[in-house]
Amino acid sequence: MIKMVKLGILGIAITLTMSNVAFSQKKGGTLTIGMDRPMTGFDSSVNPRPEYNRRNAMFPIYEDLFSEGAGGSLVPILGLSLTNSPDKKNWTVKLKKGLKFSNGEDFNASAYVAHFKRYQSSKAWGFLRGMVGPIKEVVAKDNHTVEFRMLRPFPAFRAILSNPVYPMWANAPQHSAKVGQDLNRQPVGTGPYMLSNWTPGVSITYVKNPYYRNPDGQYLDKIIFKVIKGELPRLNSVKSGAIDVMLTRDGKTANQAKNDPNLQVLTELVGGTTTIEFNTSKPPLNDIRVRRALAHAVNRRADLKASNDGFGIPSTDWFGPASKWYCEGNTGYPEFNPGKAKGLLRAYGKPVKFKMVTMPIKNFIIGAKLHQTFWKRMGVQVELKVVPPGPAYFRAIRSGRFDAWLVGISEAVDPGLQGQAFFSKNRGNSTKSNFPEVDAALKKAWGSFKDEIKRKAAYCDYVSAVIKHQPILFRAHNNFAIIAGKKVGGLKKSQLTLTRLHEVWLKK
Amino acid sequence: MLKYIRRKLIHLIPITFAVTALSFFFVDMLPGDVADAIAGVGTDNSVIDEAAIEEIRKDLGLNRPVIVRYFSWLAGVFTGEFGKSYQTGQLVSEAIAIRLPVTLQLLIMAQFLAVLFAIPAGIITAYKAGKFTDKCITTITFAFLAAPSFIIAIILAFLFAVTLNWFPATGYIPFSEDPLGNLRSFTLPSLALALIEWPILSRVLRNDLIETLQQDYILMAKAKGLSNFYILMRHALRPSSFTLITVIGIQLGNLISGAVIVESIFALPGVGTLLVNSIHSREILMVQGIIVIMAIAYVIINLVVDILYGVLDPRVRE
Repeated sequence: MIKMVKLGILGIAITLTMSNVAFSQKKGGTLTIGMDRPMTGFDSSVNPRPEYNRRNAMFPIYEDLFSEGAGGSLVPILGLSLTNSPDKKNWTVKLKKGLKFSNGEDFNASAYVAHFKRYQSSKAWGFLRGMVGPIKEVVAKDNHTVEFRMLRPFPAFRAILSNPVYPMWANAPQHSAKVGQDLNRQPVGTGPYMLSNWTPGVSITYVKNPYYRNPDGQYLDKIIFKVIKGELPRLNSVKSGAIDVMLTRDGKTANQAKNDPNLQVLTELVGGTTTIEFNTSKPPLNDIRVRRALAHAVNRRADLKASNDGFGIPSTDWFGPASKWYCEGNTGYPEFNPGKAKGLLRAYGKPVKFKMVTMPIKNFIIGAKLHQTFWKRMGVQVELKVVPPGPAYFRAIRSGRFDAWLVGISEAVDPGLQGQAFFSKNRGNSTKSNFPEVDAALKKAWGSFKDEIKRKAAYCDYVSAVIKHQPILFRAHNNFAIIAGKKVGGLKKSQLTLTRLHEVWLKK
Repeated sequence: MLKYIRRKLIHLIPITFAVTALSFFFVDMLPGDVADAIAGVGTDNSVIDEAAIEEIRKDLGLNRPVIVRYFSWLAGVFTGEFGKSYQTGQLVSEAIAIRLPVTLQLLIMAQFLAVLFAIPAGIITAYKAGKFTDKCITTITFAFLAAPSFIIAIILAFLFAVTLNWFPATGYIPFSEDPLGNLRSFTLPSLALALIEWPILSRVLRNDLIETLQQDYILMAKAKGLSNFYILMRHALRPSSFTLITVIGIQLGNLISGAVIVESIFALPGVGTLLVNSIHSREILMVQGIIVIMAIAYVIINLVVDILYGVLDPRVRE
């Protein structure tokens, strides 16, 4: 009897708590978000860039097939179930029935068929394939069953389907066919919001999707993404209430915001890492002693402090501690040891002088100058060049005029998509890596797709092999922060720099 | 006068031609183009697929020689066709039409405020030349002359938006939606520009006024017993305004470059930010469209200045 009473009280308490949560979620209002860069468009076959402002601005109108739950389980969103062939070449997704796009079109398998046909015939497919895998074709088995057929066994596809990977976000098929090239400006997804107005370079406005399956989850009337360039203007805008939320990777801004009691700051330790890569095909960086010496010469904590206000942690891997693929720091990354560095350079026996290129963005330029100083202490001369970010920078790297360059590596959802460029035959092998040990480690990792534990171990061996040959210096995993005013409720941490801002509400 | 205006307008043709040709060739010389961006070059770990990029160039007509592309663009301009953004598909004319009023309002308000500060300051410093008031105001003007616009903008935003919350830190409200809100959103940006502009105008006016005040006819006016205020306003200010007006015209051009920074800091969707973004993303047609508009605006401003000369001094018309 006492047990029953206790259970009853517990039940009432839970009900009251739940109802309190429900009551605290207010409906209505406009959420304004400050974005650092202008939106270039919604159609990834025309605009494939994975830049975080663009992905976040796309998120309110699209949805994933699944998300990853506790212990790696699949949580259905648009998909119901996922099966794969034993060789992991074919992946079959059963889709939920009765769902609609924001224009009223039925959501079905043909959406994915049309979506991937569009991608595969686009000029950006070479780039997009790097994010969705070696898809050969996408077939509608029936109205609500779609099969993704790969060119080779591809175990990473499960992670692609269960994470927010934007090239997987499908548009309404009939609408896509009708608008053609204009899809870039007229997207139609299944998400809780739909595009109402986009003035390029100025703002994007979203309103509620009338066909969304869960209207109770649409708290906001409108969402506006406004372009406000610069960290300080955006932070000032949040502080003064001109906007509600901003996203940033800048440590100084996030640390300033943390000290303001009127702001909420949620940080994500993002995987991926800032790095310095070497051209390993010509002197002096073709010598492993020099590359190791350069690694030992750098105090990476000082680099992180100077370049990003200590916002993050020094990296030993391209996956961060929050990822299940993180190698727990056991990759043998060289420690800061100037004595060892000097010894290795002495053993090399020749003067070390090379050219390095960086972009004029704070984290990179400070990092580059700091490395230059650390290396100068070892007697290494580095000529530093600055090239504007974007295509010009990557062209400069590929030009062969530079021996070293700073570059950021984003975190992928699976090791099968990460760090492949150190394989000697990879087309993106800009470091000109040609190390049989690295190649063998990667081939072994590719072949270990049946058991996830073995797979992780094999990929960590690959990271260790890369570090052993040091075509790359790891700098830091940088944090990502959501900064919001106190009136924003229901703020959740970002995932791979994607924020579910369309799920928040505004406190009255 | 009409003949004079016609002659000035004819000058506009070679100027626009030269400016657009130069800018077209300069932008073309920058490394990387929009085809790179479309193919995903410029992102982490991107692989450069030269074949795909070449195809995109072909599709966009970027594989043609720069001279051919320039004349093809020029032909379009004569028919009112400025082209469209490679990335967003937005028409260049539409993008400029949305943003031009914002920049115009910013420049007009900034210039108005600058003149509002500069004329009294110029008159006072000229009248009190060499005295304590003159020295004080001169010190202030030099302080503002030395301060870059972005520093002033940041200080203004911090003081009046973040701390006092009198004005919005960023954002733009169209006049048609909320006239008061529109003026509030433009107050800090135009003040930031005006504060770097007024010292120059004030110094120019001061020097000219000092010279004018030494003229015989001023002495005559004083001898007639006219009040100092009357002499300054009626007899001295008008003939001392020639250089001021010229400088205002020239400074309007300079203000456009200041506007680029101020528009960014206050998130005003003006032509300045559009130009910077377009250069970054190698949107050559957008850049060209803006440059044409700017060149025309610059020539028109100078024309207006010349006409004003005629109004102020009828001898010029003769």
